[in-house]
Amino acid sequence: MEKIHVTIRGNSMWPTLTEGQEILATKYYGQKIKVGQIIVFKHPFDNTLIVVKRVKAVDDDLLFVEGDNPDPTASNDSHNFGLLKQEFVIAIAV
Amino acid sequence: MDRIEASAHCDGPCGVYDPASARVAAEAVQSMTKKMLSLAENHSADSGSAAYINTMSRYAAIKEEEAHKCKEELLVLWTDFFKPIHLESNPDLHDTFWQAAKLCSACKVEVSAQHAQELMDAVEAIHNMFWSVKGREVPWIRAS
Repeated sequence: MEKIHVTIRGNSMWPTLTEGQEILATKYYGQKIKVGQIIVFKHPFDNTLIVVKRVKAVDDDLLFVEGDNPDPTASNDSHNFGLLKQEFVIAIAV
Repeated sequence: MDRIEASAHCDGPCGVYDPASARVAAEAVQSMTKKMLSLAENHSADSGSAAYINTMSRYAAIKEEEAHKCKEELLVLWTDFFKPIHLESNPDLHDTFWQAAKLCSACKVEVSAQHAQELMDAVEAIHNMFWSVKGREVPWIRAS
């Protein structure tokens, strides 16, 4: 499985991931996505923006993703843009 | 191996925050407090006149309005800009904001030069916390 380096910008995944931290992720080729995994994906409303969040629920092709930061104003996630189609997923954090 | 950047930003509505708004309101509170004290001290003989009552009423109305505005500006910074991660470098953050908000309330209902100055000091402390979190050196200034 091909791997990519991902540099984190912002604090919506704090305390798990912090600004500037580098993580390794496996490129997404349709493998099964599980609840609890951290995924990298294109923002559904802005395809120039690549986002990282945690999968909180899986419903067939749809994912509910959320930031780890307990501050509700700190993350732009499924609470804002709704369920995410798996076609937007780029990688799954190792 | 490929390298990419992934955003973990909050993507707020505008993302523009500045404690200067609270500072201007706090300065107005302090200015009105001083004017009220000065008017009472220097023109007490006229305290029954329409002009005195009108002037004092206007000073009081502006003081109360600006004190409330200052509290609103501080609450926006406290609840929207600052995040849990900022508590690591500013462990007094919550107490500083709480005391500052309490001082806004005190200045609204009182005519206290001491509390007006304490409010300015609290806003200055918040100014310093804000810009240190942003990693910028912005000097504390006053308009008055």
